[in-house]
Amino acid sequence: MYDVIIVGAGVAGFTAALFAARRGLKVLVIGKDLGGQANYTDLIENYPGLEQIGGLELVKKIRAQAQNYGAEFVISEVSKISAKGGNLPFFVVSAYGSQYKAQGLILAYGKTPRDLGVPGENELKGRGVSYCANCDAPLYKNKTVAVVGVGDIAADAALMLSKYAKKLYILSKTDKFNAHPALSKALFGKANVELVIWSQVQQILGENQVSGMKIQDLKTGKIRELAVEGIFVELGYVINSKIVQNVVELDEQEQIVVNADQSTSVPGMFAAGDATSSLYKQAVISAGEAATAALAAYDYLMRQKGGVGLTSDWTQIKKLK
Amino acid sequence: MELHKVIIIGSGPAGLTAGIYAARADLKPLVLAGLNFGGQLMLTTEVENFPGFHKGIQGPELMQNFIAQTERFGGIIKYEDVTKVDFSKKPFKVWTAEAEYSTESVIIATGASSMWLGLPSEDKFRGHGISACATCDGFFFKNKEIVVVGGGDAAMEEASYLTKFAKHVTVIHRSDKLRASKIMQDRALANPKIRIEYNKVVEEFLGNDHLTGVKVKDLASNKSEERAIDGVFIAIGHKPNTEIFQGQIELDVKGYIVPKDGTKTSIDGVFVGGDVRDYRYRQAVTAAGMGCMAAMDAEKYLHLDQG
Repeated sequence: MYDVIIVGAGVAGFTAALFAARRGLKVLVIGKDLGGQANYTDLIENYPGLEQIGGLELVKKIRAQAQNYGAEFVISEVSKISAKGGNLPFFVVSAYGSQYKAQGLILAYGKTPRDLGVPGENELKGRGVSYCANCDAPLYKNKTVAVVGVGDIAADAALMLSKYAKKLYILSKTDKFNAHPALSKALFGKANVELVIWSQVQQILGENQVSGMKIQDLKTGKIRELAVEGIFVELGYVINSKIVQNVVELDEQEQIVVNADQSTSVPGMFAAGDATSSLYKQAVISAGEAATAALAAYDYLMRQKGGVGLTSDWTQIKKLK
Repeated sequence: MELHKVIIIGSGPAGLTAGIYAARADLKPLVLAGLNFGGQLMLTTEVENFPGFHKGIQGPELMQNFIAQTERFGGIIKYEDVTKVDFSKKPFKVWTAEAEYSTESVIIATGASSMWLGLPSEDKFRGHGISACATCDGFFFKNKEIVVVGGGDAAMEEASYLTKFAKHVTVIHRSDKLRASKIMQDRALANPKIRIEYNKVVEEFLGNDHLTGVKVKDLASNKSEERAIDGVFIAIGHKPNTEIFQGQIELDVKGYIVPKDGTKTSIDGVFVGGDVRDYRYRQAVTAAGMGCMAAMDAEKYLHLDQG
């Protein structure tokens, strides 16, 4: 029996492991792969304290840090999570035919940007194909780039990129952009931004680095090539929430609904990072949430055992609310 | 007068992470870092729990990294203390001893300060045996003799937490009664590793480079004695650094800024992150995460506000 099992092996997962292990808890991290979304970023420049670091490298450092304090890590894919009641409730996590038990659970399995699903995309990921404008925009200073997608997510990405790119194409499959009017206005008021309507990406071109894309005009059916050095796919994320369906409350996007202390609808179950309903998707925010989740889990476990929970500078505020 | 897009007040992990993100969003933030910049990490030595530094990093070095990163992306840092603000109309005004600034948005990240006993020898051993954060530093005191100073809930919780590592924990409290809630007292009193000494105060901290002892005075007998000790945790509370915001923005009765819907505050266009609003988790990385959120919220506000 572990004190805490953490599902997910990215920035959030290992940060939660670090803070839980430092509290003297027995911790297991289970991840399908190592790195999570940080894997999609070759170079992170905005993680505070680290000038420049590869996404995977950052995750490896945090893993080492968590392991320094005794956290264990297994690579395995979780297939089922169930909550058991009783005086001391616990969770059973099934993965690759094994069963792991813990009194506390932190879900940090993240989410994955939705792929465009065209030839060339997989080969050129991290080599001009990006899913995170906030991470990579400054790398495209004075370059020609394209954003594929509509809506606020694409608009946010495009606004960020428009500050750096020489030329920015935004590709929409219809003749609309469907973002918040203020965002659209700010965006299309810029001289370097061009909306390319009725366009569907057919293929991403390039040898080792993106050099362009084949796009089809959905009105005329004509296919042409567009020369770009970067392609930002902003089609939202897919989330693999099968393992917690009917276990914990999810929102309509299948994100785990969390409270301010990262607790969920199930006592003892916490969540952090991109798998949650938090609006922000940044490594340092995931890390902050994960530290909070670990401390809240510690507090929960200690109180379950009738012990002393977390130090708070001011507990009285709870009574006032 | 130049109209800034965003002014960040404070330069701990929250303020400077907001600085990094606002600078990368090309908002050219002005960070009013204060004369004593860098926040609470400047008072710590080895930081072991900031994710990404598996070999640990010195607190001041970590904060220098944050500063360099903010400047590299175009953030401007001024080492001036803010003396006054006016959030009553836009643009907001911020004053320091040197200048008056005008800005469309503000991020408050002034943090909180641990309260200290105020002894000269205390300054000398801060980070060298004296700490105000058991979560940060407890791990260094495996099998050691520790003193906790204080008598409130925080002192009881710190003492109980430290028994995970320490050989013994002695709580020194200046009056004959604990201020801690009954349940917290009962738990501490039931813990065989904790001893509580009443009517006593720490008079002086002893040692050369590192703390090796304390001089404790018994207020009843007026007698002082020296005793050998490995570490002292001061747990007499924290104080949010919000004096300059009194009457300008909603504070709770303890002086912490009241957050609304994420990092927003009672004033539209003023955002908050870090320990100045967080009396519970208070970690460098939780503050950094909130600073990042505040910068993203400020950026969104500026875009929408400008239409």
